[in-house]
Amino acid sequence: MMKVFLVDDDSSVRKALTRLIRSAGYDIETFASAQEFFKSKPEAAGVACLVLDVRMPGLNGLELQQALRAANVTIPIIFITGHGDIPMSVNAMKAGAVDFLPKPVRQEALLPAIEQALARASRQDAEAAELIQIERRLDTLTPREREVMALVVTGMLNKQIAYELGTVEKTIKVHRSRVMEKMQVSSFAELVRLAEKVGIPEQNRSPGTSARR
Amino acid sequence: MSPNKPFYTKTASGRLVWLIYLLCTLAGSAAADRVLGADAARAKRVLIISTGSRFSPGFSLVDQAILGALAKLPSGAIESSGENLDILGFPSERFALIFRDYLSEKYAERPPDLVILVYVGNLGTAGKVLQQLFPRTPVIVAGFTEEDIPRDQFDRFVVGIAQRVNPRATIEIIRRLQPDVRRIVVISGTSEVDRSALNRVKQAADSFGGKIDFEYWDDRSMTELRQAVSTLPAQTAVLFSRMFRDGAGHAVISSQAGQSIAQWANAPVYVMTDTLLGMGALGGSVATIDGFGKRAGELARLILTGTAPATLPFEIRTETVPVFDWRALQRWRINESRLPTNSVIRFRPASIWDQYSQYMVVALVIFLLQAALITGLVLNRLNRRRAEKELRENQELLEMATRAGGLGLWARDVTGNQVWANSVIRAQLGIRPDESIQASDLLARIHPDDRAEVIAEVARAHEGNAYYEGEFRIQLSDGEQRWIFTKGDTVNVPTGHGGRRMGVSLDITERKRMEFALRESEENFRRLVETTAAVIWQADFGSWSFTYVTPQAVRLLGYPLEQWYEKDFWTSHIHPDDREEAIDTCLTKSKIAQDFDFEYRMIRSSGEIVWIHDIVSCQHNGGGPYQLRGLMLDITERKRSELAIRESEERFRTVANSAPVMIWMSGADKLCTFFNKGWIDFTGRTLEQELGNGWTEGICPEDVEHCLAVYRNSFDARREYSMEYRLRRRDGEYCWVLGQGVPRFEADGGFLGYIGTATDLSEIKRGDERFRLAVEASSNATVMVNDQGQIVLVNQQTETLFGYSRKELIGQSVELLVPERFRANHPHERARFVAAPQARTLGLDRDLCARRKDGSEILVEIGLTPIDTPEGLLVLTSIVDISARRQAEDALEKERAFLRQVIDIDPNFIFAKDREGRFTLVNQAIADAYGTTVEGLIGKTDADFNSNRDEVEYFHSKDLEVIDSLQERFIAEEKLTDAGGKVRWLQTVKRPIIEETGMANQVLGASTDITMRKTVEAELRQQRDELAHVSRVSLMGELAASLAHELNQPLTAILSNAQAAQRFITNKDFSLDEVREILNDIVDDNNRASEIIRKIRALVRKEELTLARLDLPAVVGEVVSLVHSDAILRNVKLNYQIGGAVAAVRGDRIQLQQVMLNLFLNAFDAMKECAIDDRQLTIRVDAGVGTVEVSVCDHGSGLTSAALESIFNPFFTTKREGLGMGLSISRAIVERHGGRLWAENNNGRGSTFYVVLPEFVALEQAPELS
Repeated sequence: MMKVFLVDDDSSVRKALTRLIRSAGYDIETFASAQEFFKSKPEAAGVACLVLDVRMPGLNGLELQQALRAANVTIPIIFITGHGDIPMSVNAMKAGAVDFLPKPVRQEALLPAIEQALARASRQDAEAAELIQIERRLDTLTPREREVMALVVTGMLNKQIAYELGTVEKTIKVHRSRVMEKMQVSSFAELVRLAEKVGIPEQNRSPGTSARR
Repeated sequence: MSPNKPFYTKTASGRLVWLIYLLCTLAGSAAADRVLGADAARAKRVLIISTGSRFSPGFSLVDQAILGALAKLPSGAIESSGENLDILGFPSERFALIFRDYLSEKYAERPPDLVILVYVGNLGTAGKVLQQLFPRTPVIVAGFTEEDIPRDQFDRFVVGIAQRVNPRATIEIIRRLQPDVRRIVVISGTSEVDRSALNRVKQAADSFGGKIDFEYWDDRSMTELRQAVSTLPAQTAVLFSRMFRDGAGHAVISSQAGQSIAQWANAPVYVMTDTLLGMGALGGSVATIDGFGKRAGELARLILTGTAPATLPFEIRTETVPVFDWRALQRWRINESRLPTNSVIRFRPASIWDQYSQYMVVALVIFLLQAALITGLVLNRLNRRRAEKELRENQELLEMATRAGGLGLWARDVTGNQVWANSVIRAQLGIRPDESIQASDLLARIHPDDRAEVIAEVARAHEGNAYYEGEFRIQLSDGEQRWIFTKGDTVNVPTGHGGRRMGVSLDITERKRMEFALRESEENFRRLVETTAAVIWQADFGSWSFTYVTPQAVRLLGYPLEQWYEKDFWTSHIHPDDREEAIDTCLTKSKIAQDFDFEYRMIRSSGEIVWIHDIVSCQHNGGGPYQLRGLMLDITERKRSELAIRESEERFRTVANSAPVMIWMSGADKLCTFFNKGWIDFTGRTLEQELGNGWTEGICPEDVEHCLAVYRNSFDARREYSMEYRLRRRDGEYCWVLGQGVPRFEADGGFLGYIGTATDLSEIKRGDERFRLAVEASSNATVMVNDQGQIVLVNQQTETLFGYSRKELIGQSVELLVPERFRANHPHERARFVAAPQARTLGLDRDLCARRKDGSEILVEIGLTPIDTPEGLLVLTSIVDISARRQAEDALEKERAFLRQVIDIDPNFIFAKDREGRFTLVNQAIADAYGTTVEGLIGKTDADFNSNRDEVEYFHSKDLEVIDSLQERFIAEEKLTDAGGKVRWLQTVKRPIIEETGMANQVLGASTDITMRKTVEAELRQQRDELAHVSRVSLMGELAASLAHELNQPLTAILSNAQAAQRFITNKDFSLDEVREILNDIVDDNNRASEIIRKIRALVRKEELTLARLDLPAVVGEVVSLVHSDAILRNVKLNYQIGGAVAAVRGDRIQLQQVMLNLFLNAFDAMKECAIDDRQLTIRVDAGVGTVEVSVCDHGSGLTSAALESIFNPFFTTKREGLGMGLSISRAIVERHGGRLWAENNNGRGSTFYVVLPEFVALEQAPELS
């Protein structure tokens, strides 16, 4: 069950939107202010999205968005506002909002936005899970294997790597196969994809190699 | 004059020039040294301003004298400039101003250090101009011919000097020089300065107490004067006082006028200032310009050398000096011995020594020097000396010869005027040997009868260079006449002047006298011989017996011729009464060897007396007379007629003396020669006292002038006259007499003089006097006119009314008082009246004008009363000046018209109506409103013009209310439908016109048309509302974002609820309860949205002011809820508090909410810069004393003390985007509600705005909201 959070200071709006969103089959939790929501640890909610009113007493919607980003909470946000303007919406979208909807918001706009947001949330959730796996696999590599992997994913030949690392090709071949094994990949392309995901080439690239690319 | 003179003069002048040059060079260098060594300060600037003309010699003389005195200034140069104001010629004020500007411009760069103002008479505008021009510059005012200057006219920078004329001294000089003078004609002009001088003369003349007649000619034009002064009678002198404007009003230069008069006058002209001397005037005791100018210059010098002007006295110079013109003295033959001892004689031709003494001295010196230098040439000159000696001897011989022969020698250059004459001529003419002779001097001495002929002869000779010969008489200064024969010829001598006429002259007086005597005696002889009655006789002197008589002797006495030769015939037949005298005469006359004649009576043989005129010639031998020859003429007839005349005169005297009237006679010289006994008895004076002009002393002083004028004028015109005057009776009382005079003529028409009578009119006069007094007492001008239209009597009122004096009117035609344009017809009208005399009044039915002396006209009414008198019909005319009455009437009429105009020009309605509503007075404004005229409205009612019955009835009811209550009513508004159907709003005051009875029957009203005012007020209100509205809308604009949000909230809820419900229904997965709940929520939210919209609409709606009882906390609360959303957006914490129960207020909800909205939004803005936690706005509604108070307290930065008040001014704003109208409008709204709006800074931070409104009161007591 995917979860929708709703933050709006207006109780009747909260009530009405709760009805609408629930009617679409989503689990919904409402808050009367941004502070309440922030304190509720939404990052633990799993796949979820946030429907957020812009104008509120105290912390307003945009400020909440920034606070969440600062706290690395990546929950997708759909803004709703009674009176929005373009600079406000641009800022919100730049900061990663899924959508910026004017009040009164129609279900035809709101529900697809929620769907989209939840999709993004679940994708983010899957990606985060894969990364954790890749990191775990990387943790199994020896430092020498890590070095070799970092060079392999750049597309260097074994010979070159050996030269680079001051060893022989044969040794590199051994390291390479061991890396493939530990990273649980069967192809070089797959290794590159994993490495990209964790950003290895960038992190371990040496000045000498970059010159040669 | 020496013939060598030209030679010496030439040489001398050459040397003299050289010498002078040398001296000047030396003196000049010395002077230059002095200047260089002296103060090097800049030159002192002196400005001399004359009020007179540049061409007036007096002014230039003063200028020169001043400059002369200034030149003596020891140190520093003088820069002098001069200006001529010429105010006498150009007296306009405007000119004076322009002149002032001109001067101030001209001297702006170089202002004078000293101003000298030279003026005549008074300062006039010059003084003022000067004060303004150079206010800090010392000024010397120098009046060279006057008078009185108020010292206070100047400040302390001014010092003055004035010259005063001395008429008295001059009059005394006239008496001294012309002892026989009986009349002094004083000539003066008409300008103010002329008058002041004349007044001085008059004062002086008074002190001569009638010894001399003074006539003042101060109103004659130059043309009239020319005629008058050239025909002055003998024993007259002219005193020329001053003339800057003549009687015709023309400006003249006094000195030129004086010159003209001196030239025209046939009597000597005396003057009082020396500017007038030298141009024909004889002289006088004059104030000298030179001395005066010098003194002015000295004053200038004193001031320039540092003397404070205030310390110098204001001087009036009164000293005068007798000064005379030598030429005029000659002209009037006034001997210099008569002049006062201190006299100055000017213009005396200088003697040779006077003229040339310098030259002569220099020439002598040079001559001596030359002589010393040229001793070597002495021998050479000896020959010339000899020749010269011979020449001189020849000259001396000639001189001796001519002197011995009484031969005059003269010479004259053809072109020159100078005449040389030898001692003989000089002796003949009484010219001193050293005196130079002008040809004109010679001509002047020629007898007037011969002068023209001589001049013509000389001219003729001169033209033809011809030989000249002539005889003429000369008139010597002692009155002696001498005959001169002269011969002359023109000789060419190398004088460079063309020629010289030379001649001889001989005194032929004796010859002429002999010629005349001879001619006379021849004539006598011829006549005697031809006269048959004459007896020629010869007698022996010793024996007194005739030695020869012509036969006519028989007829003369009737005795035979023989008897004539008897001894003592002559003596014995002389009438005993004459005998002794006749013999004595004959004896004595014969002894002194003279021809003589005498008259005596002889007795005829018949006993008759025969008058003899005996002409005797005595013949002498060595020892004495020895024989007489003579001629006896019978003059009995002549004597008889002479006697007859004498007798008739005697008879006349007897008759005259016995006549009851006073009779007098005068000779052709106007002097009275006879007064009869009646006269003497009347006056009680002696004949001797009365003779000549003595009789005038008895005339009443008031009448004497008139009396003499009539007498003289009639006399000169040889006209009969009749006049009345008062003559002093022996008892001292003045009695009215009727004086009549007729001219006397000889049979051959020769004028003998006048004979006249004087009739005592006392009795007649007494009656007349009563009548006259009655007339005099009349308050009306009364004029009595005879049937000829002549004025015979006028009273004081007439003089006053017409401006004529009595004298000017009496005897004049009454037409004098009739305007010129009616004069022609007036005699005709007069005649008609005389034809049917009947008392009547003129001027009642038409305007009758009378003419005053000054030409102005007056409106009169005239009463005519005919009086029959023995002298004929007299018309007593009473003239009433109705100008004043007419003026008063006119003024009243004008005032009435003016008032009419005033009420007509008044746009307000002014009217009066009676009880029936009929207009009795209206002004144009009402007439216009009712589309009619003022006249058309009078007597009509409103109903006649106003179709609106209600209005008419309302008006009438109010009118009656006012009339009956006698109270004034103010009707703030009433309507009137005008002629165009337009409704006008009027504000009217109605007041009863209370009559003497204390009741009123009319109402007076004034209505102001306030239609326009109402319109304007409405427009104003509308504009104010519009402004408030605009402001409100703009406030709402500021709120738009939050309002949209506020409104979207319920809309969002509604939409979401509705769509949720749809989904439930679609999914068929719902409970009815849930749907019901949703629908309830939708309704609630809809209400909520509506409420918001209502509030917004209410605020932006354009509504007229609607006053209602309002609950202020609720009104404020609505606004608080409106800005709620905005406060959220701005992170402002709103705190709304109501301090217990508060009273209602009266006002307009929207406008008050607008004020609140404005205050709230301002508060938000004030806290924009605050930390979010500080953004608090507290709004309170509290009860005051009879008021309700709203306070809006923010936590912003507060206001400066200046801003505390100025924020309420229009267009004041602290906000970048503000209009600056909000608070201004808010305050206006609050004040219209009778409340106050102000701001205060808080003790802590921020400021508080207070709105205090009065509590709601019942409508009746509520003040009008404006």
